[in-house]
Amino acid sequence: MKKWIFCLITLLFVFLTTGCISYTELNELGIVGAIGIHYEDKQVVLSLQFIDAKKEENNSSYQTTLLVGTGNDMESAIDMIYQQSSRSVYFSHVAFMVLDESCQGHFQEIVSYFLKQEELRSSFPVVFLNQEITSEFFDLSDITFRLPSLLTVNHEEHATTLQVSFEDMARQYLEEESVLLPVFQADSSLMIDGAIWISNDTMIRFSKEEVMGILFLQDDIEQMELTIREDTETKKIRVLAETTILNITPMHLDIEIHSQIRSVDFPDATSFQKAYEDTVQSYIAKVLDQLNADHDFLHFKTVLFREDPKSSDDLIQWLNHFTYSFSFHTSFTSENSSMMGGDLK
Amino acid sequence: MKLIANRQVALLSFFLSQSIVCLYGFSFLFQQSGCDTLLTILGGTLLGIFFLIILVPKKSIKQKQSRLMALVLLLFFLFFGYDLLSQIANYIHFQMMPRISILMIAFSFLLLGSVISKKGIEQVARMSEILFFFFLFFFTISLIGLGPHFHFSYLKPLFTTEPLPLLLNCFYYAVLSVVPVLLLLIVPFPTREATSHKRSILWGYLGGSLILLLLAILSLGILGIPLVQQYAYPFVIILKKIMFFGTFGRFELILSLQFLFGMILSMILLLIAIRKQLRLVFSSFSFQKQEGLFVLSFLFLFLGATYIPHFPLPTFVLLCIFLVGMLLRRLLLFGKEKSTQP
Repeated sequence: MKKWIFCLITLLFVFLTTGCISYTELNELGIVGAIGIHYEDKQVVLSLQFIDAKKEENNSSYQTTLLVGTGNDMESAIDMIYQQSSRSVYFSHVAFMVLDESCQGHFQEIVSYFLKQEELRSSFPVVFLNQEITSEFFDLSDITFRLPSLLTVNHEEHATTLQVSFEDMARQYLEEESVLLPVFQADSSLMIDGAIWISNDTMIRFSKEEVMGILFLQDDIEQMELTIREDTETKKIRVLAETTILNITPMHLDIEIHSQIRSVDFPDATSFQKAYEDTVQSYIAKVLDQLNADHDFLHFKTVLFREDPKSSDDLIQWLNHFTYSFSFHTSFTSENSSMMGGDLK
Repeated sequence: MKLIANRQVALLSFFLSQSIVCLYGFSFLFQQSGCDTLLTILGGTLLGIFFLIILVPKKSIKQKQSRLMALVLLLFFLFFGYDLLSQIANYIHFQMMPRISILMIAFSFLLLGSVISKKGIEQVARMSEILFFFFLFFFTISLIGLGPHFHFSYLKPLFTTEPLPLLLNCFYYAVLSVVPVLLLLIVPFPTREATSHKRSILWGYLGGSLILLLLAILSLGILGIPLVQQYAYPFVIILKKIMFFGTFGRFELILSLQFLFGMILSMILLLIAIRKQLRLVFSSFSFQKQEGLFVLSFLFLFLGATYIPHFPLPTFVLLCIFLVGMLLRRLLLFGKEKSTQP
């Protein structure tokens, strides 16, 4: 008797706990194809383009619906979108994310919110739009598929575009509190327009040619690391630098550069600065020699400084000013390439 | 009564050593040690082997357990058990079934564990053999699929943690990986007299630590330390990247089952240990009353995992107390053995 009661309870439990309690129909699921983030008056304006797939007799097609939500944070913006659509937002199939200038200073919120979404696959590309994000951008035909494929084709075949996934962006922001994104222009059609480097208080734009230079010098390489130590008593500066093998293969060019700088002592920060400029100049001259370049482009080199915590405030301030942008202008209108000054940005 | 083979003991040890570290070891270690987590795991493994060499006896000698000791162990298993169940239910809910209620997950998991624990350690040992083949299969696919996404540069910088915090983190890892393995000393083993499973336990522990080291290397090498520190279970997140021939992907749900095996086995062994302690504490009760007490324990575990606020001391402190207790007991027993020897 007890066995039968036990079996009955078990069967009831099996039927009650499994099954369709939390079942969601496909058309009740809001599959997000694209995300647009814009900030206005300290509020986030979140644009989500939903994909509605339809199966017809001979083919299957899809429609897109754009919904915009605003709020003090991402959660409230998503809630507003949910109220409009009555569909639960599903981030598993995001094709791209687009940001604009107003997102400067809000990357922490963007990165931390979307990293928490378990369904999100963070391999989708993130792009920067040269103008304010509006519904007209999402109205461009097939943008969910055109934009990612345009990025891929340009990156692989023409080497004029960065390809930055959300994961790359998050990693870069968490490590360096800055992001480097490809820029799109969307007037009547979709066009790639270089790249942009954004930190909390700085924005630096790069043209397509500059991006090519960045890809030449930055893509697939280990960064050059300089460890700077200052002797607080004598004010002497010791620099330990290491560069690793640089393999560049865009557009079927093979270049290998391997240089290593051992430890060097400098009497003070000024002489170090001059020596660094000289070192980078000779480094870039080597690249130019090997490239035998005859196109207009700018070189951009990122140097990562690892600060010694015992360094003085002056040195640290100077290093922070120095850290990311160090560009040399080169002119290739004549056969002789000439180096003109260097700009510290 | 079928005896348990050495390989089954080794496989149990293999799975148990990974269970708690996967649940809350990685997230803590990555936060504290960064890239030095790899060194932490290596150092912690050595420390764990040292603990196991001391704690696991050379010969399996039947020792009488006092009622007081049984009561203390019962209380420990109950409080540790509901924390473990809560962690497992949270893991399944957030990583595998976000739309299923944690209540249902905890109840189903506990029910499954209770039914299997009633069968005894022999069935659990056989289960571990079968699960090992699945584990190998899933792990191999994971390794092959994750290889192209690996960056050696993300493993740097090493040796940035101070020595004392590094040692403390090694101890943390050793405690988390050794305590579940010690369940094998508590549960009743049908084994030949004077047979030692010491070597099997050590080999299984080493195998488990190797897998954990590989998981840490993969997590760091694919995500990088800034991203790894954002996730509670980075070794599950990296599975999302697996794609074969550019088309076949989205295997992470199936592949993440490999991490569930150790958790299931640790819960089952914990339940077997609870049954044993109940029998020792309430030895005068009839079998039906003891089963009734087990049902009460079941309810305690379920309510503790889902409703009751957790034990005030962090779980790690509880595990440390257990480990220290086992060490003291071992030393006392060792002293007694020496004094009784002619």
